[in-house]
Parts: sequence; C-alpha cells; structure tokens
Amino acid sequence: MNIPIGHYLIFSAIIFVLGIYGLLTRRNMIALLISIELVLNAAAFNFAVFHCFMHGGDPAGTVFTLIIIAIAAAEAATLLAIAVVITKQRRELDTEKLASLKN
Amino acid sequence: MIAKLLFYTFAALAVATAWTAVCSRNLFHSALALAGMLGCIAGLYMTIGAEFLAAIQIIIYIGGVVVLIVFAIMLLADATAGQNPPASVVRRVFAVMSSVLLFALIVLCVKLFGFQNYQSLPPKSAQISSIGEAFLSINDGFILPFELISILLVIVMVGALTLARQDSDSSNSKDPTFKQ
Repeated sequence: MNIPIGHYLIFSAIIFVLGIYGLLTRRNMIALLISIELVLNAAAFNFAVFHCFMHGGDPAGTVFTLIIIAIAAAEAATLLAIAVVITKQRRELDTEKLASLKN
Repeated sequence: MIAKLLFYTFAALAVATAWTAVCSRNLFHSALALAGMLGCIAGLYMTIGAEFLAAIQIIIYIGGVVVLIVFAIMLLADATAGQNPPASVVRRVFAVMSSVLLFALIVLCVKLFGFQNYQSLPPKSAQISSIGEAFLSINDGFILPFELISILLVIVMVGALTLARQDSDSSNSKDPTFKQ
C-alpha cells in the first residue's frame, strides 16, 4: 500500500502556509527571504509529487522543479546583495522603516 | 512499511523545522532550521524516487542558498543588532486567520479533486538521462527556459557583484538622503 498522494499535497500545503504566515508576520528582510524559500520549496515539491504520481515520471515536471530551484537561488543572491547595500547605507533591515519608496 | 515510516518522519521533522525557521527570534537559528527543513524535503524527494532532485536540492539549497544566508546574517549582525522586533498582536491574529483560511482552501481543493484514480499507482520518477533530454532536445524540449535560466543566472551574478561592491563614497554622494 502506497502513501496516498493527498498526504504529500497536504504536507506541502502546510509548508506553504507556514511560509505565508512568516511573510505576514516577520519584519526583518532576511527572515522574509527565509519565508519565501519555504513557499518556493513547497511549490517545487508539489510539482515533483504530481510528476511522480499522476504523469508516470514524465520529465517535464522535473523541469519545472529545477527551474523553480534555479530562480530561488538567483532571487536569494539578489536579495542578500540588496540587504548588504541597504545595511551599509542605512544601518537598517526592518521593512517597516525602509519606506523611502512609499507614496 | 519502511517507506511509510520514512515519509511520516521526514514530514514531521520538516514541519517542525519550518515552524522554527518562521517563528524563531534569532535569525541564525532560523537559517539553521531552514537548512534542516531543506534536508528533510530532500529526504522526501528520495521517498518518491526522485534522487536527482534530492541531490540538486542539497547542492543548491543547503550548499548555496543557506550558506549565503548565514554569511549575510553574520556580516550584518553588528549593524542590525536588536532590530528583530516581534510582530504586533493584531497583525499576528490576522496572519493566523488568513493562513488557516488558505490552508482550509487548499485542503478543500485536494479533497474535492480526490485523486482517486492515482491512489494505486506506485510513484515513478524520471530518469536523469530523460531529464537531460527534456531540457536540451531541440524538437520538444525545454531549451528556451534552459537558456533563459542561464542568462538570468549571469545577470544575477553581475548585478549582485555590482550592488555589493560599490564603495560607500560614490554611493553616498549620489543622494544626500541616503547618508548614514
């Protein structure tokens, strides 16, 4: 008896929702990046689960997972570079106080 | 039986470490918990037979992204010490409400769709050679996304270097409001 696909989907939904909760509550920029990584990882895992269970190992699902992983890595590098620059200039990483571009 | 045990162990560990990563006040603990969660998800990739994805997950996420995050936390720890205030109660209540609502919606969708036809199929993942063919074959492959990813990575590398390497004199003189 295999593990039903619903358990995989509900697991990745839990990870996704935890990431959304972090995005809504955290204020530090690096903590926000960590929450975004949770969300992206849940989505990538969902693609892998669907490709394994519903499409009999069609490699197209793996392609989506790999693209999500590559984009997450690129996004992390960009965001951390921006965080370094902002900290150098403003000594601040709190997203509530970094509001120069607002309004 | 072993597969079931592995799946539920990894899933429980991943949820626990994800909770720590989201809720810990100490950023360094958050980053370490993120590494743990990514490792657990790599284990889950193994349980569905996707060894290539598990290897990629460990190499890129744990070897790359988490190390980058830890370096950034250590570099910025002095400058931003004590700037990790807890969220207000109202905000936390609304965040919990919207998260629970979203989770209920996803579970409802999974239940409604049912996936009954797919319960008996054993999980079967793609071979590494077929993944390579899917990416790189000219006829029906994903060669355009592959090339776009390579261009994106080059742009990100150059952009991150120019952002992080600009010396503080020139960047401060551009706009007086950004002075320390």
